[in-house]
Amino acid sequence: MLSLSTRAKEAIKTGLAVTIVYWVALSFDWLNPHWAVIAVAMVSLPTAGQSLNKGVLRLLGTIIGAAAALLFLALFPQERWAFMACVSVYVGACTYLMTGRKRQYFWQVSGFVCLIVAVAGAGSEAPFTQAAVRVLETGLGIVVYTLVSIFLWPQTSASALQGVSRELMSTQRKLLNVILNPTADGEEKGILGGLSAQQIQLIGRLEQVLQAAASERYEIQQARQLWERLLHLSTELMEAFDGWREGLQDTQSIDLRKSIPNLDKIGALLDRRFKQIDATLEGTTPYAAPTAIEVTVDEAKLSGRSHLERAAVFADKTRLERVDRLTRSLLDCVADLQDFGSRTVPHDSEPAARSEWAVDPDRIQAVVMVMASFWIGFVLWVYVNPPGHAGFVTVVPTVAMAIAITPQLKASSLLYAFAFGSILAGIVYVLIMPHLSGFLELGLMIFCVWFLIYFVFWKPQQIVTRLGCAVAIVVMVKIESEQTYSFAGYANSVAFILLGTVLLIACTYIPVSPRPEKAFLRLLARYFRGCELVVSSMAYEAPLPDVGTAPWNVTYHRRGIMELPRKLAVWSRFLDYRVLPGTAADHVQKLVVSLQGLAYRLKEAIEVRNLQESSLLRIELADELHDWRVGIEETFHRLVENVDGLSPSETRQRLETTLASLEERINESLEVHKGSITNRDVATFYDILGAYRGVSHAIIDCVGHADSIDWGKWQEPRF
Amino acid sequence: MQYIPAEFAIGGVYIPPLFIAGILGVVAASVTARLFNRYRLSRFFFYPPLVFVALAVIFTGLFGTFVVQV
Repeated sequence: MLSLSTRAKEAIKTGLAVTIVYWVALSFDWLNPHWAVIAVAMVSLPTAGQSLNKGVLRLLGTIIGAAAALLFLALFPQERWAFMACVSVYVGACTYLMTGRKRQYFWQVSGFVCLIVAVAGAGSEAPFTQAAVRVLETGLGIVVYTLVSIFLWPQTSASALQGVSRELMSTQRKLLNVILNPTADGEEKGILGGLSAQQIQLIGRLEQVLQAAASERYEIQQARQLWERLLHLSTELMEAFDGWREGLQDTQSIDLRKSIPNLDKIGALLDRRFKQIDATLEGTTPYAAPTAIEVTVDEAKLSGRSHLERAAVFADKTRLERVDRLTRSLLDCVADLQDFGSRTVPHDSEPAARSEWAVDPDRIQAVVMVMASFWIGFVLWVYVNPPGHAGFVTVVPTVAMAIAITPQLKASSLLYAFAFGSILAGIVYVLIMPHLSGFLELGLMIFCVWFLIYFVFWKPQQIVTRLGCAVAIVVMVKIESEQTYSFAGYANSVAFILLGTVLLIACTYIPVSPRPEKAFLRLLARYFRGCELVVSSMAYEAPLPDVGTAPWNVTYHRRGIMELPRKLAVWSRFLDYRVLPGTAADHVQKLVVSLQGLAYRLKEAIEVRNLQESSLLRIELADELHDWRVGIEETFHRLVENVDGLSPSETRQRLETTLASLEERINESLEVHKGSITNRDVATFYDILGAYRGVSHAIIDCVGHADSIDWGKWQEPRF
Repeated sequence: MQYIPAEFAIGGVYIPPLFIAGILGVVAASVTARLFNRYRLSRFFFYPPLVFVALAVIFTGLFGTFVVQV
C-alpha cells in the first residue's frame, strides 16, 4: 500500500481545501473568492486544534475589523482625511495590542481587515456587502480547512498535551539532579545550559499545545485553568532553577553536604516527587498528599566561613524551600487534573503575577512603522497612483503588521518569495489558465499548484516563502466566476509587488534600523539602563515601592530586565557574524546567559530588599550598603554609555573591595551587638547579603563576557 | 528638436521610462551600498538608510537623463 509522508499529506490537505473553497465560492458567484483561499492558507497548521484555534481568532478578528470599518465609513462618508485618520489610529491600536502577549492574531486580523474593508467599501457602492462577503468567505475557508483536517489524516494536539507535560517534568527533574550534584564541573555546566534551553522550549510548546488542545476537546477546555496552573508552576520552577544555576559558583568553595546535612535526602525526596508527578500524569499512581521538606543548615559547620559564604548557603536553603513548595503544588495540580480525590489546596505562596501596565518602546516602534507604511502608501495612492493603486494602503500595511510581530524577519526576504510567486503565477495565468474549461480542469490545476507550494516549502522556517508564494498566486491569478485575462493586469501586479516591497523595506527603517546588531545594542543599553534604575529604586532612604504602586518607569524596567535577555537571545540568532569580525557566536550566547543570570539576581535582591527595614544590622550598615548601591549604579551607568567601557579586572577589584569592606563592617557590628541581635535578624541579613553578593558576581560575569566582544564593529553605521 | 519620452513596450504592455530609470537607480544604489559596506566606508555616514535613498534618487536622475531619457 502506498504510504505518504506527513509533508505530502499536509500538502494534499491544503490543496484539497483550496480547491473546495474555490468550488463553493465560484458556484455561489461570490465576490473576491480569493479572500476564502487566503483564510485557508493562513489557518493550515499541522493539527486540527491549532487550525481551529487560529481560525476562531481569525473569524472574530474579521468580524470586529469589518464592523469597525463600517462604523468609520458611516461616520465619515465624505471626509477622506478624517476617515483615513480614524482607520490609521485603529490600525495603530491593533498593532500595539497584537505585539502584546494575548490574542495576538485576533488583533492583527482585526487591524488589517478593517483596512481592507474600509478601502474596498469606500470604493464600492455597497460597503456592507463587502464586509459581509469578507466575513462569509473567511468563515468558509476556516470551516472547509477544519473539516478537511478532521476527516483526512487527522492529527490532534490533545494526545500531545500529556506527552509534552511529561517531557517537561522529566527535563525539570534532570535539571534539579544536575544542580544538586555537588561534583558539578565545567562539563555538567554545559549539560545544565542544554537542559535549561530544552526547558524553555518545552514550556513554549506546552503553551501552544494547550491552546490547540483546548479548542479540540471539551474536557480539556473544562480543565484549562488547571493546565494553565501547571504551566504557571513550571514557569516558576524554571525561574527558580535558572536563578540557582547562576548561583552555583557562589557555593563552589563550600561542601554543601556538610552545611546542609540532609541534602542527599532532600534530593532523593524531590526526585521521588517528580517521579510521582510523572506517574500521576500518566494516570498510573493514585494521589498521596505530599509533605513539606524541612531544610536545615548546620551552623556549626559554617563557623569558619566568611559571612558572604554563609549567605550563599542560606540562599541555597531558600531556593530548596521554594522548589519544595512549587513541586508540592505541581503534584497537587496534576492530581486534580487526573481527578484523584477532591480539589487540593495550593501550597505555593508565590503570588500570581499582577497585571502591570507600562508602555513598551518595542511595541511603540512597531506602531510607528505600521502607521508610516499606511500614510506613505496613502499619499502615494492619492498623489502618484502607481500600479497597485489601493494596494499601497491595504497590502503594504498588512505585510508591515506581519513584520511588526516578528521584527527579526528581513523584509528583503519577502522580495524573493514574491518574485518566485510572481513567476509561478505568470506561468499559470498566461500559459495554462487560458486553455482550461470547466471547474474540473481548473480545480485540478488549483490543487496541483497549491500542492506544489506546500510540498516544496514545507519546513517551518520556510513559512515566509510559502505564504509569499501563496499570496502572490492568489492576488495575481485572481480566479473569478467570469474569468478575464489581461497581461497588463499581470504586469501591473508584478510592478506593484516590486514597488510595494521596496516601500516596505524602507518603512522597516522607521523609526530605527532593523539590523540585528543595532537592535541588540539598543536592547542591551535599555537593559543596563533598567538595571541602573531598579538598583537606584532599592535605596534605603525611601521605602521600596510595591509592584502595583511603583512609578511607571520602575515597573516597566523591573519587568523589562526579566524579559530583555530573552529578546536578546532571539536577536542573537539573527546576527550576521560575517560583518562583525572579532565576535564569536559563543561569546554572544554567554553574554546573554550572564544577563539572564543578572536579571534573576536583581529580582532576588528586590525581593529581599524590604526584609531588613527594621533590622538592627541594616541600620548599622547603612553607609556600606549605600556605597555598594552607588557603586553598582555607577557601573550600570557606564555600561549604558559604552558597553565596552569597563575593564573586567578593575570592575572585579572594585566590587570585591566593596564586598570585603561590607563583610568587615558586619564583623564589627556583630561584635558590638552580640547580645541584642536575634537569630532571625542574622538569617534575614544573610538572605540580603547573599542577594547583594549574587548581584556583584553577576555584574563581574557580564562585564567579563562583554569584554570578549569587539563592540566597535557593532556600533559602526552600515547600510 | 524637443525630446518626447517614449514608453517601453514589453508584450504589448507600455512601461513608463521613469519606472525603468527608478529600477535601475535602486539597483545601482544597492550595489553602491554593498560596496560601501564591503570597504567599511559606510561608517563615515551619520544615517546610511537616508544616504541610500539619496543615492537611489541621484542614480535615478542620472539614468533618467543619460540612459533611459525620461
